[in-house]
Amino acid sequence: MLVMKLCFDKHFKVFGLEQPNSDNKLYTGRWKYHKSKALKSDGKGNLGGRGVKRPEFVFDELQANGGTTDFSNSNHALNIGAGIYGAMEGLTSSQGYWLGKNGKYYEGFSGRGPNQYTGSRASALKSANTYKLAGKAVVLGQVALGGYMTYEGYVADGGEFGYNAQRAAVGSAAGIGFGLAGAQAGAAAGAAIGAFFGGVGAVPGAVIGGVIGGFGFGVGGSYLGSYLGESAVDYYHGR
Amino acid sequence: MMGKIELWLNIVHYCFYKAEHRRYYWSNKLNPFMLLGKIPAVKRKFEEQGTSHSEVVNKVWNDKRLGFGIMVSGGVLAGIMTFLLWGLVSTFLGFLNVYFLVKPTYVFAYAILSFVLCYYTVFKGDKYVKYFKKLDKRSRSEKWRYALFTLLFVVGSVALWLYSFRFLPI
Repeated sequence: MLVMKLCFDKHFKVFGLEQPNSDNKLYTGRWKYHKSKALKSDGKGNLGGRGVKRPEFVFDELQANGGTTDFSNSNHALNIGAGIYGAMEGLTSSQGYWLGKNGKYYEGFSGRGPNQYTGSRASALKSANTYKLAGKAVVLGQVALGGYMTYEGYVADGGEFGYNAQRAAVGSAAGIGFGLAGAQAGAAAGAAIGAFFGGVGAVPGAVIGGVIGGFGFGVGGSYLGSYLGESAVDYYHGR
Repeated sequence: MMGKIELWLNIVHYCFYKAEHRRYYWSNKLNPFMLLGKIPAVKRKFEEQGTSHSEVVNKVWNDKRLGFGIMVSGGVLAGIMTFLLWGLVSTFLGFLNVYFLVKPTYVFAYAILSFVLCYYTVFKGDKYVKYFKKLDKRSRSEKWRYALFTLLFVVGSVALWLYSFRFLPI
């Protein structure tokens, strides 16, 4: 990178162009060489013959957004994934209540069932286990994405924990924290509403409501937390 | 060796679960939606089913197999492992004077590796439930020792990850 930076400086000097990165920040990208008639030799051997290779530094996408990549699409995908997980997990096997093939809910992992009406309990639990793993992966994804955004902010700040790194770190941490708080609130609200619905008995309805409400509020809380965290850092830096 | 890793990862996972469990109970005291369970119609509906609103909410959160709490602690365990792996690789290569910019694909690879490790040592077949039962029986002083180890593990992993930032290719 040092070599590239030196080349960067050198090329801009040679061609008399103004170097855009005088702020000493780390810029990433690649050199793209293309032939240019405009830069042919002046006849005194300064810049070579016709068709001299003119270097152009193509910045990474990272530079086009103030030094950080816009990961909002990835965040949306993770949040939507969490929502789908919550709904599917809630509908197949909710916290010890499992859904039989006949559409009825049964309680517990041992004892009564399965029979020709319920279908396989194992298959219902297997599905739930898959969604459970997916839920863990979603949490991991949010933690890892927050980590990468912080790193990228650190790089954009020129190797120090400045505005971009702080904004990414606080936004990610607040997003996870508020998501957790939102999920907790949603579980309580969803359980209360779900008690009035449900196929067999109110308890499964309440549990499903709790799971779905938890994820719904969790996703909302995550957005709110990220926004508040980033806004707080913006306010602190007067932006 | 693998047995030791499995044991200590399960201990860390157990401590995360217990910490999350405690956080849940403390923060639930401030949860305004818990008051919904005191509305007469809601209360009556739950009583008809022989249960209560708080009991159902606690089950949704604290169930050891399918609750939110176990999902959060599992995800955070894999996340901390990702930071540890990232920190180890970048720092090790940094000391060998190999500097590189970390790309999203590298982080994705670290996360996958961490998840696979956690899956085979902790999550597979709800292996952690067996460890939870075993660890629940340990003495109070041993549990404090595990909690201290977990705290050091988390602080160490995050500190190593942050330290690895200094090995930038500039």
